Amino acid sequence: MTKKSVQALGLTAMLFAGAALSIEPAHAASATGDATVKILSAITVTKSSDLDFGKIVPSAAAATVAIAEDNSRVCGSGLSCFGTTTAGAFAVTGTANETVSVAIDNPSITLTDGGSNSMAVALATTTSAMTLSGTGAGSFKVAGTLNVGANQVAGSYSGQYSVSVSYQ
Amino acid sequence: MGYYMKRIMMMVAMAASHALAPTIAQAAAGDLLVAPTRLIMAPNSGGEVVVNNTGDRATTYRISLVLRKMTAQGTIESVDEATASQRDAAALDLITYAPRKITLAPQQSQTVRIGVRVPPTMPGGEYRAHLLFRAVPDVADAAAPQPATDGMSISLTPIYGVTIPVIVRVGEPKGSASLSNARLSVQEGQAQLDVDLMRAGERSVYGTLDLMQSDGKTPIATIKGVAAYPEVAQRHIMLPVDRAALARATGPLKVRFVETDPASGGAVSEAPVARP
Repeated sequence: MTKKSVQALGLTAMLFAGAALSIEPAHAASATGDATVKILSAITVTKSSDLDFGKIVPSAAAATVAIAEDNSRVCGSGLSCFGTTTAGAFAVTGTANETVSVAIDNPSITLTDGGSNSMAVALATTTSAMTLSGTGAGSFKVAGTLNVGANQVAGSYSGQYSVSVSYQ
Repeated sequence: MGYYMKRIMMMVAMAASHALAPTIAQAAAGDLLVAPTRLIMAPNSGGEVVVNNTGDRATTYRISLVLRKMTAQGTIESVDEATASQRDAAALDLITYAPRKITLAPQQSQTVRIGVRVPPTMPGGEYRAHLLFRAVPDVADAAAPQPATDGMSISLTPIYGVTIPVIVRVGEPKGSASLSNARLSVQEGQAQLDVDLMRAGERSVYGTLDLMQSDGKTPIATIKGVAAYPEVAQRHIMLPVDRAALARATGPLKVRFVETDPASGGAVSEAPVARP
C-alpha cells in the first residue's frame, strides 16, 4: 500500500520584496523581481501502520473485537479471532516544539462488504494534542472497536476514516 | 495568473521542498504542502493559500470549510455544522473559497482564493472557521482486502488532512493573555510544566510559551504555535521538559508567553514557576 502523507507549511514569515502573495503582481517594469521567502515551519503526516483487526469468525451472538493502541486485541465472547492485529499509527514530523491538535473526524464508521452487509466501528485516539519533539517528531495511534453482528456474513469488509492534524 | 506570480509560487514550492528535505526523507511521499498555516483577515478582504503537490504522483485534494472548537484542555474538536450556534457558524457565511477540488500533478501548485465579505450590520468581534485540506484517496490506495475464506477480513483506509484556521476580525476586537497556575512536576521520570493560559477580551491569542530561568535568556523548554480561541477564557497547556536541561538551570524559574499574533504587538506575559 502506498504511503500517503499530507504536509502543511507554516510561513510565519513570508517576505516578498516587491509583491505580497495576496496581491496581483504589478506589471510595472520597475519591479526588480527579487523575492525572498523565509520558511519557518512545515509538518508532515504519514501513516505508519493500518488499523488491522486480524481475522474473525463470527458466532451466533453479536460481540465486539477491540484493538488497543498497544496493538493488543480483546476478542468478544463467542468469536474466534486470529492473525496479527495492529492499531492505526501515524507519524508526524515538522518543526521542533510546535504544537498541533489531532482529531478523528468520524469516530463512528460503517464497514461494508460491497453488498448489503455492514459492521460498525468505533475509533478513538488518546492523543488530542501533541508537541513535536526537539527534532520535530511526534506520533499518534488509533484504536478501534468492531461490532460483529450475530452470524455476521463472512466476507471482506472495507471502510474509510478521517483523521486531521490542526494548526491552532 | 501572471508569469511573475507563477515564478513566486515556484520559488515558494522550491524553497519549501528544500526546507522540507529532512522531513521528506523520512516519509515515503510528501503529498500536500499548504502555506500559510494561519490566516487572519479583515472584513471585505481577500487572501490566498498555496497548495502544492509535493508527492510523486497526481493527487486530488478536496478543500472544505469546517467548524472546530477549542476545549479548556486546549484540544480542538469537530463541530457539527447542523448543531452549531448561529454565532459559531457565522464565519461559514463570511468566508468564500475557490476552488474546492484540485487535481495536481507532482510538484504542481495552485492557489486557493479566500474571500471575506462582512455585512455592515455584523456585530464586531472575531469569527473563525477552519480550512480543511484533504487528499482524496485513490481506489488503488485502499488496503487490499485479504481473502476471506476462513471468516471475515477488514480493511480500513485512513484519510488524513490538515486544517488551518481562518480568522476574521470585525472592528478590531481587543484581547490579552496571561498565565496562571504554573506548576512543574516529575512523573515517571518525565518532567513537565502545566500552566493555564488565560485569555481576556474578544479576540484569540496566539504565541510561544517558554520555560526559563528568571534571569535567563535561553529557554529550558519551548512550545510554539499555541492559541487560545475566544470560546475559551482559559486553556491548559502541558509543556514537556527535558530533565537534564532542567537540572542545568539554577535559580528561580519562570514561564513566559510571547504573543505572535499581529494584533498583539508582541505582548509578553510571565509567571513564576515553583520547582517540584
